[in-house]
Amino acid sequence: MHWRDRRWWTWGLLALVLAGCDRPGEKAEAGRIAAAEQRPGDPVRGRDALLNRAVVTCGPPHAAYAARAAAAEAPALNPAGRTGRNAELPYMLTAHVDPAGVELVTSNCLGCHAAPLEGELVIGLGNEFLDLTEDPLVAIEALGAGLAPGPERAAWRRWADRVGRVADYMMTDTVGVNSANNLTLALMAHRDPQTLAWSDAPLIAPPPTRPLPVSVPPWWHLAKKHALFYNGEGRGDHVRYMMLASTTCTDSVAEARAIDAWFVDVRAYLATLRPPPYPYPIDTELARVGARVFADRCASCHGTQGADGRYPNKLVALGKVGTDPALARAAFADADRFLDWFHDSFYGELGRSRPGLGYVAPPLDGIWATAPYLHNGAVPTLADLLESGARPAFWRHQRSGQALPEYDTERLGWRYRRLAAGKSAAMSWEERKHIYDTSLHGYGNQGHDFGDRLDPAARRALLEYLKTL
Amino acid sequence: MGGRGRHRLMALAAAWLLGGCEAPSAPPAPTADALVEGVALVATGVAPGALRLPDDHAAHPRQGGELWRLQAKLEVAGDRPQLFTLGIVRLNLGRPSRPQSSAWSSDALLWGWSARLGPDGPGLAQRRARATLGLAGAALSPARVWVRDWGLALGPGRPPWRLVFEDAEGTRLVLGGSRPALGLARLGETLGVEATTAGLQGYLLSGLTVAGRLVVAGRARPVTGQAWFEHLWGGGEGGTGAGAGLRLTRLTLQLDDARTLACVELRRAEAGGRPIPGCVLVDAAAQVHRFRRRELRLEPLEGGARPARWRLEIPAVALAVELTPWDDALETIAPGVAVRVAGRAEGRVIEGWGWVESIGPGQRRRGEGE
Repeated sequence: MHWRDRRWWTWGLLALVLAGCDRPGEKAEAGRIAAAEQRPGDPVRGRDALLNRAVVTCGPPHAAYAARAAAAEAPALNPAGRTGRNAELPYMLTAHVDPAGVELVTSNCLGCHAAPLEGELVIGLGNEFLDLTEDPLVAIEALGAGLAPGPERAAWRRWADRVGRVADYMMTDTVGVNSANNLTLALMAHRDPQTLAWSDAPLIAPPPTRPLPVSVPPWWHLAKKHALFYNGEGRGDHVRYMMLASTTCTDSVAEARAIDAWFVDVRAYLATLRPPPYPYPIDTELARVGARVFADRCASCHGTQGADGRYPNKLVALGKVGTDPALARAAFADADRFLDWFHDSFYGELGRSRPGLGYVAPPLDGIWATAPYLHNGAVPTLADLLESGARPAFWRHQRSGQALPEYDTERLGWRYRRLAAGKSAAMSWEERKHIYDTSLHGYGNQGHDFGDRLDPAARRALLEYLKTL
Repeated sequence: MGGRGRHRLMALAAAWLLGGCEAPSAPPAPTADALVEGVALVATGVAPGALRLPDDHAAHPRQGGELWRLQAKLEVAGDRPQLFTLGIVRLNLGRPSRPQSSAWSSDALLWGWSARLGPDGPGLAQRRARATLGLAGAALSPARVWVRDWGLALGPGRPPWRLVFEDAEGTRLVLGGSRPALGLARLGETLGVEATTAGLQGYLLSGLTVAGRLVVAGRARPVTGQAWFEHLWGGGEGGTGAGAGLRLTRLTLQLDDARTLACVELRRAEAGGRPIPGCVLVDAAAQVHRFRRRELRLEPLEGGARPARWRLEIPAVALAVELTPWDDALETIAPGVAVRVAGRAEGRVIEGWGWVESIGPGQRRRGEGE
């Protein structure tokens, strides 16, 4: 062989090896994300299923739940269409009867994917005030403590033991940020991908016990998105991806298939969701000016609205968007075992994960309602997002107890308080957990500084336009 | 709270003190359910309303049960230290449905016990009396509780604390200190429970100094030492019914650098589940630091339902200690196990003493065929 041929062979082998490291086909480059056909479903049946069928099939027995004083209170904000026992339960809980005939109370999707707004529950609005900092274990044990041996105790124990195994992967250190993606990885780690059988001991290395913060994206973007997740992951069939975070007790392929059969309807319903309209006055003249700014500066990534609107589904490289890289990097570089698990499992039969080293520029429908901003919820208002120098390094929502903060119609977001110091200066855990500290790993508020190039008037106009989306 | 719940909480208070006593004349032990329910409530709950000192330093006669307890390490000149514990419990018997003609009628019963372990070996004493004819009672002002010849004067309900225990033999222990009271809610919070409607309330006074004399078998000796004091009450309103099927261990530790640790560990009595520990550290400057499950490591170093050997690590304060029984003999006469503490804190050798109490279904004393 000529030396030049040998050199080509060497380069070829090297390229092959390197390509293998990068898992071509499983990881994505920046750029447009191709569409994938979704399985059809019935949105009417899907809404009913979302509100009344259990996707999580374990939980405390209803008898234990009902013994709690709080259970006697009428559920608040329950959406229309909750039927039977579900009408008596808070919207984030669903009744379910297990194979032994025990009536259970199970968690559902709405705990994360529904939130009150202007006194109404908005299905599809990410819950940015969910408190996942609390240790669930005491409450879980207390629920079972009065149950005598028998089917009810067995049902409680199954649920309690499962949640006990994954609790550390769910617990965040800041109120409002979400850990469902980390929980999903933990559940994968405890299951055989082929059979989906549960193992008390993890079968692959579990994810870190300090979840990276994630802001829950609104469901009404679903119809536009080709990839479900911020980092471009979740391509192909969306249904099974959506089921994955709820697999606490889905212990066989047959069970997963049964849920999949009606979850296509749920997806079809979610694809019909639209954002709530901005409820406060809008300066339409100023918004018209802002629309031009948007078309000029934002639309190429975030898309356009209206009848002829288009959404480009663009994965923007970390180097360009500049936002906190931890989430994308972790999924790209430290999660191969989970990619393998997914593609070996029932859940990956119709989808491809394809995480990328970047973040998808999301559609901006209803963006006024989805504060705080960026994939990690690091920026409290849209005004801060458009002026990176104004972003607070340390902040907390301005609220009293469990009440929602007031909506700031000037800055577009929930009112917050800028703090002089982060969590390390807090005197108590109660104080600490409410502080969003952008100095922590994964919590950075940098990047997406495109608004800095606008003059204040243009920024003001752009904000006004964003109210109309 | 219904009658059953109140009864269980009342039983708890007695069980807390008397569960470990072996005296033949002791009343029947309350059920394990009541014990565990109450203890779990102590760990996780607070009575409705906030702790209100100084008023709460005095007795709570409308509550179902009340407990005053002190635990001390007493230094005796030229001899080994003594561990000393004293408890007095008041059980509310309820108001009679019609006027009682007997002068002996009473709406409360008080039990007291003390246990010590020292150079003279273990010793136990008890007192019981109805709260009538001055035999026993709990006075509001000045705050005082007594049963027969034992009296515990509680002093003002704010720092500086001054508590005085006296008996007819001549023992007189004066406890003083100025650290703020640690409400039970703070301990409950370490388990991840911010507030409940559970039925017990109380507080702990830590870092107390002791001075006085201890009289044993007619022999009086001057003593000094360290102590903590706790005052619990409940059974009035609220109650969750939670607790059965759970086992709770309390560890109260006094370190020789003047810090006090109050820890709890809640675990399922049957196999399975994850233990849930939490600790409160009161430092020498009386600052309170709470540590939750994921901020510490607390594990028994021996099997059985009532382990006495434990390892505790709190990385945030570079603390790692092991607990070993002070002397198994004491456990035969008192609830819980007195322990020695040894380990390191921020690189320094550290020692201390304390008490470990494990309460819950299936509890047996160490060595009782676990």
